[in-house]
Amino acid sequence: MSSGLLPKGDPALSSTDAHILRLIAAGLSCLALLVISACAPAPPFTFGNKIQEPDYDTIVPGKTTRADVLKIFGMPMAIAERDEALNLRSGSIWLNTGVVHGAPYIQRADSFFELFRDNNEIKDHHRIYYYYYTYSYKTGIVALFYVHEKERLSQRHLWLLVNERTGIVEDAFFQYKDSPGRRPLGVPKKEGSLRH
Amino acid sequence: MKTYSMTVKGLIMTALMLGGCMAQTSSFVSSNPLQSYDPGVSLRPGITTRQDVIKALGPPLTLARQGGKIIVYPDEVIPRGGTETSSDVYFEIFRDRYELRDDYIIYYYQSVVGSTGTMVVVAAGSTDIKAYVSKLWVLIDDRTGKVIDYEFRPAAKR
Repeated sequence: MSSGLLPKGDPALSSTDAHILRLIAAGLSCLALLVISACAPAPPFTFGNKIQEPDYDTIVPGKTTRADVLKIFGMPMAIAERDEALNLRSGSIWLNTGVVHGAPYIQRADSFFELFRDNNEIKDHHRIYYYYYTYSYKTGIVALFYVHEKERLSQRHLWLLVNERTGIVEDAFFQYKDSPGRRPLGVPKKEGSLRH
Repeated sequence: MKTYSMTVKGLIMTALMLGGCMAQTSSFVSSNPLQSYDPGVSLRPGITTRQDVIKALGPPLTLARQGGKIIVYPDEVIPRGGTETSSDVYFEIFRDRYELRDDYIIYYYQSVVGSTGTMVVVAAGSTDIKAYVSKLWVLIDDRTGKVIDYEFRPAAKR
């Protein structure tokens, strides 16, 4: 009789022992398949408050108030004042090999005001409420030694020109972009921008 | 003997698979408007307006005015940090072509493609992420709102 997992050529190995060892080998193979399967599905990364086109459509420049905006979209990522350097943050995204973590970065508010300069007379009491939403996910197919993964990224940007004296939204600009392929639920379009 | 061999093979397979995803390379396309924008077609000097550019690409990452300051970013997959420098570095691109007036401005956009490579052997491995950045500078006459010229530097071939 064999006393261990690895028999050393014992000629007296019983058929029962051989059967047990076969079961162990099969079990190890199944375990290996389960382990490698762990590479496949990955939880998505979301960053910022969700912005959807139907929500954007509810904004009526000249009527929608700052309170309405906060109710619909929540707190903005930034409230930009002219000539200000904004401290923003990017969201984490999936690469096939892992995650690139979001990081803080600086951006001058002037570039945001460019969106509205041609259609509005920008004054000191104007602010831009900036919202940013990112959704990054990946899908994978695993077949033994072959691993095929795809990463996707959806981004939404919303800029609202708000008159701080009256509390009224005077203009809005919405930008959306999805990397090719399947889009997250409720996101109908692929790429473009909208303004009222 | 046959059973012994089978068990050893099972253990080796398990060890290999615990290594994870083996060797793989792929590219990641950042979700940036420049990816699907052809400056050669869309930017027509003297015709295209500042609003046309904004409608297609959104607000610039950087707006440069002569004598002002701009923020520049490292070539990475996502924006990170930022260092303030003189906007002259952007105007230098056009200095030999035009007599630059005070009311000329530059919109700067960039688009990043990340390329990753991974090698995993049993329990050890390494990952390499490279960022390939396409850059676009658009020179605009702020008085008329028209595009004067542009400089497009596509990312190096991977």
